Amino acid sequence: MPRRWPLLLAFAGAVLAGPARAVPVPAEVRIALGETTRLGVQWRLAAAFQPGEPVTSPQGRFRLLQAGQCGALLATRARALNASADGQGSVRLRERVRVDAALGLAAREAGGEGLCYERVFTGALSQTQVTDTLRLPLTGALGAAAVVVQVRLRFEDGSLGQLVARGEVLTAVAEISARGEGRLRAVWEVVTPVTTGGVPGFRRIGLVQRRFFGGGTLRLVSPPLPTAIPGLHLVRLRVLEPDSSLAPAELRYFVRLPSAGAALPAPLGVLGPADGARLGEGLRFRWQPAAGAHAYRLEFYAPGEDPGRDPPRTGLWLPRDVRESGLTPLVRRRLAEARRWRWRVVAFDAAGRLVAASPLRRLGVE
Amino acid sequence: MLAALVLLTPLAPARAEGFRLLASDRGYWRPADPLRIELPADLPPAQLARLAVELDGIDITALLQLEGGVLVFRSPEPLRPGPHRLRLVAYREGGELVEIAAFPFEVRASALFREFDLGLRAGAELARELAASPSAARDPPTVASGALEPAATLAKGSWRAVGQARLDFTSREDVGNRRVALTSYVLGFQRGRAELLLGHATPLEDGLLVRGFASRGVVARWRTDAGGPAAVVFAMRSDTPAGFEDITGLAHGGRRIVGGALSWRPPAAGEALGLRFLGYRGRGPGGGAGVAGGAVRSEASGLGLELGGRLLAGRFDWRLELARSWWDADGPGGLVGREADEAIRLTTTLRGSEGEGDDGWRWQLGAEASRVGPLFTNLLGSTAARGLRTLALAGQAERGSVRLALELRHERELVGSGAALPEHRRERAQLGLGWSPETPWVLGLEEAAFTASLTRTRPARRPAGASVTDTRTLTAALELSGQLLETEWSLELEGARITDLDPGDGDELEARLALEMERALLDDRLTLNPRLALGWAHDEASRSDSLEQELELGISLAPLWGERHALDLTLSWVRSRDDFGPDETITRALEANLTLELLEAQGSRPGLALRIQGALEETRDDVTGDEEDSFRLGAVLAASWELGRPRGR
Repeated sequence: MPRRWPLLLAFAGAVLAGPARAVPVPAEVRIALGETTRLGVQWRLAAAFQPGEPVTSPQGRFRLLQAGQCGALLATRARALNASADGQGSVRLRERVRVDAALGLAAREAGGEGLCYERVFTGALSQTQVTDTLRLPLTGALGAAAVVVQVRLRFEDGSLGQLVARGEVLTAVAEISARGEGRLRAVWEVVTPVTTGGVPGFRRIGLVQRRFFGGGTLRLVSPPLPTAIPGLHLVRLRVLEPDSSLAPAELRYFVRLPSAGAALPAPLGVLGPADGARLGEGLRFRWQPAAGAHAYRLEFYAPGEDPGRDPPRTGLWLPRDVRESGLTPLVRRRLAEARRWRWRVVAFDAAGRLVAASPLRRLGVE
Repeated sequence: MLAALVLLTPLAPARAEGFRLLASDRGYWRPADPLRIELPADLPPAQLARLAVELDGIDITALLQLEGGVLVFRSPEPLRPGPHRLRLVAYREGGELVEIAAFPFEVRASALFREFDLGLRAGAELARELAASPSAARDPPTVASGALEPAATLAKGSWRAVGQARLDFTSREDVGNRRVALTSYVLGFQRGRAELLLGHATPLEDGLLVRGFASRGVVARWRTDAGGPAAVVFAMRSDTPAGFEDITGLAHGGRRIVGGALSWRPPAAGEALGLRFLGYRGRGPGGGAGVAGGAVRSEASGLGLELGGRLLAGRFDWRLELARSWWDADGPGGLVGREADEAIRLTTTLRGSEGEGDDGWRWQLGAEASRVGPLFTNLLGSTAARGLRTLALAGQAERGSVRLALELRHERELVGSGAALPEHRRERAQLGLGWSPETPWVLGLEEAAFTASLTRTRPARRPAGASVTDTRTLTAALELSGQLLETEWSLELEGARITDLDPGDGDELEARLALEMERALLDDRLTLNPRLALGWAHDEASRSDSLEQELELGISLAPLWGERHALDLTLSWVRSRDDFGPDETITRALEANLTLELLEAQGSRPGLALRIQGALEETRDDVTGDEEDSFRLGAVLAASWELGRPRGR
């Protein structure tokens, strides 16, 4: 007779806690036929157990979704979930579920319109059992939930690693292949040399939140990466949503001290035109004299080109006594090939060394 | 100076006869050698005044000197070894430019070699932990890390060899925790029309059949002069997987792929038609992403044909791609999965312009039609077919400082073969507007871009009782940037509203804001860089909200005294929250770095710096219940070395 007491107490506990309410979030995820889907689900069991009671679910079960009902067992997922109920007897658990394409195809072969993913949660003390089900209707790629297939991470020049001088401009590019439709939420993170030596401490440098429509590739450019501190850095794009089991790829870059041989040239002051000016007939380029200048070169680059690496697309050599110049028809013809340019003035000494350079300014072409 | 002689004259020389690039005294040009152009003896001075000379796209006329019937150019910057092009142009009345002669020539580094470059760039650091909190105790006390980039080039006559590599290394005091990685390398040999590459190379340009799957291996290329046949063969190890459109079936990295392409442009067709045949075969362990438990090994093959060209005097581009691929996956007991796919895509672009100056405008129209699939999948005996048809039209126009873009896209999918499953279609319209005011506008605005899109995804076939997607999504984004009171600023605002038109489901709302500023003070000795980002999402169906908040303040002080030190401080605060409950993560962090430059790098002498670094971090995660406070203090000795003139970055 005493053995019945725990059962009675459990029943009383369940009654006092009110009716168990179980709602997975999301409650339904449409999955694409013939595609493997990874999804995140949060099991929320409200006021179902005794406060502080350990709750467990030894496995998940995939069932056939047919005529709106969850039926025959198709497969099991042997992964236990464990948690303790909070002060109100509620439990929240997070799980990442992989639904193989073969499972969806098997459901369709069996005449179903999808799958159900079911879990039974049991309270260790009260023996209360709560069943919760996530519905996974089958559909095509357009109507399915968002799935990130791949994140391809590179530096802007396509490389996987960089050795840059302090202060150099550097960005990373992520190409995300995705299917379905949904929200992409991701964070750009870097590890500065302060922690790369030990356990990397990733620090956010940018938040991405964007709606995407699958079937193509989404290209994301990182904010400028920190290059102020010499040493090893790591950068990655971590996808927060849609839930993905893909481990974020990391790129490494090393910031070195700039050498005097390749030291940045002295700043050269530009008097006009203003940054972002438009090229007109009377546009004149004016600058301040640079010490030791033997000749000046007015240089034009396409957006994204790096003067430290790329030769100018066009430009104009000028003698050392010139401080102002218009553009020749030869240069104008080349500039007409694009609408946006960046320009600067550089000075060379008699030994052919670059001794001064102005900052890049933008120029629009009509 | 020739520029001073420019006068208005009725005619300019129209023929190249008599113009000659004189060979250098030593028989080849070295980087600092002057370039001499001999002029025709009977060239009238008036016509000489209408000549202009261009070297590799740079107008050098102003530095030309006339020395006894010869134009001489002494380049203020030594010319780099390799091929160059000198071009003589005559100005005609009405501003017309006529090329009257062009002289390709080569600059050599030495008598023996056309090019000879050897370079090395290295950075290394040794970090020693001075103090750390117990939570950070997993860190090894001493860590060495660095990167090395050697590069070399050698060329003579018709051959050229290049080599470039990049190595990373990390060595921690814990035994067995050393890491040396050859991040990338490439060795290339070019002779005449043939080229051989070993290492990281891209054998085929992107297309419908393949896109960026190759990683490292051997690539051999052979080409004739412009328009003639060209061939490439390769044996590579695949990189990360390709996307859905590529239909390569190469779902995993680490594949061994052998393939090739042959391209040809029929001489009679000119620019109007070019052809390319391509194919590959790849195999490797694993794969079969859709197979439960994965496959033991898989094999993929593909064949493609591409046609394309340029018509209407270069204003119209067209490209037609046909591709077919197969993919097999084997499990422990034999074949467990198979896919066969086919695709066709036609893309066209038409360009044009009207008028000139502020009233003139340029435009471009593009169209794309494609059909990917049917993709037949057979996994463990179960078969499905699916595919996607796409039709897209896009237009862009620019006038003055305003840019306009419009895109219309229609997609329709095919699912199964008559099975009771829903199919969907999607229509999407996107509008983009850009404005770059000639002079900074209100709040110093220099650039503004606005994009908006309306997307409708709805069932094309809706079997009774089936769950379908029926949504209307409206997105809008505004990006602004400018400079106000010597402060650079940028602001991004994005929002989306997803209306679920299927009964029973609710709407979703999303928004994001990012603001970033940079202000230099005290003669650029102090730089402030605050950044704020907010991301919010609301789902009506699950009645949930999530919120991400970030605030970061970067402070750089350099230099306050002397010239060889810098102090960088970064303060950051990140909070993410959703309202499922007390589900919140907060991270506060402070990083500080004081760098003292001990030895300035000069020539082949390495640079040396000492850095004192510290970090404080506090994290609280309500989901896992973890709370962690940590601090670290360390000293780092950093060295950099640069030798020679490494190529590239």
